[in-house]
Amino acid sequence: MNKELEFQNIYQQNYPRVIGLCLGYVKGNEFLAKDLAQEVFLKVFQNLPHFKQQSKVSTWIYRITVNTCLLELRKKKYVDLKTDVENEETSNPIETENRFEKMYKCIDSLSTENRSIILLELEEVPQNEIAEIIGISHAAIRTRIHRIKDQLSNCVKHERF
Amino acid sequence: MSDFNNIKQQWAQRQIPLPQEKDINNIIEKSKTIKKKQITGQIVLVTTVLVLIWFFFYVSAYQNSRAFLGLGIMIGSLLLRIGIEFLSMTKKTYIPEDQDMKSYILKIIRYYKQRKFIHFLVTPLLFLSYIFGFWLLLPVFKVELSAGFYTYILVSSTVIFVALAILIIFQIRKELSLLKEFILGT
Repeated sequence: MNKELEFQNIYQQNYPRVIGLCLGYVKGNEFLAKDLAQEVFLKVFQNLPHFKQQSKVSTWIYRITVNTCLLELRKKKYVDLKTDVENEETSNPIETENRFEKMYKCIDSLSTENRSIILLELEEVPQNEIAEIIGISHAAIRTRIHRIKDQLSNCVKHERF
Repeated sequence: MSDFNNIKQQWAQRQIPLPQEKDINNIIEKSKTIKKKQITGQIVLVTTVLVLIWFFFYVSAYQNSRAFLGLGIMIGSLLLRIGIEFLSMTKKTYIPEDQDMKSYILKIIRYYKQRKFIHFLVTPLLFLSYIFGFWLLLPVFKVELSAGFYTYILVSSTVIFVALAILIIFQIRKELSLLKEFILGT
């Protein structure tokens, strides 16, 4: 299969995961998330010939996504972003917006590493894959996720911003 | 249902933008443009080196020991700076983004720490030696050029040196703040 066709398949299959994760890094701001996702797929395209199939394609793409988002966010300093959320399934849009805003702000208040871990957990990435993406042991990830879950739940429940 | 499961359920209900066919072509095109730019950059670099060497012989700088030394120092420091910058950029390009996050961040921090060494030691030294080379050339200019043109060279070069110094300081501050952000974020 030629490189462009292979990339096209990878893009179609993985775009929802990538954009979903990017949205988490930019407090749900769709415009910035799309910008980040484009940067991620550019790197995927450039690195495609070097992909050695030692891990799953999705794990490989998640690694690129996490690293790209971290680097680009620091370069461009996306600070004090306005939270931009949309949800079709709930009847009260203001209530939904407030809930998402709180959730995004709580995620944003976590450390770089914890934020990446919990975003991957929220995207339902298996814990052994999260360990591979972050670069720590599976056991350490398990303990860490447990702690971050409590931290995040408490924040969403009690914190005011 | 636990609080976290609630959060997870809400998270799954977010509206996710759909992939666009035109974005695929944009990415492929962008990648090709980047590659072309890299090749152009390398051509410009090689051409600059060749032009400087040609200029050195064209003005017969080797016949005047002061001009030889002055121009030699200027060309040498410029070439050294361009070479270091080129190597540094190449090095960053080769930090693979597909490794685990911890290794990636460590490599990025190491890279910016090396840049710190370049910014605080190498760049000021090369900048000063460039000015020193220029200062050595001034008496040659004074003898060879008209008074008006000599003054023009003196004033315009001073302005260029000040502007360059400001630009370098600005760039250094930008990179240092990036390094600080990375160290604080880990």
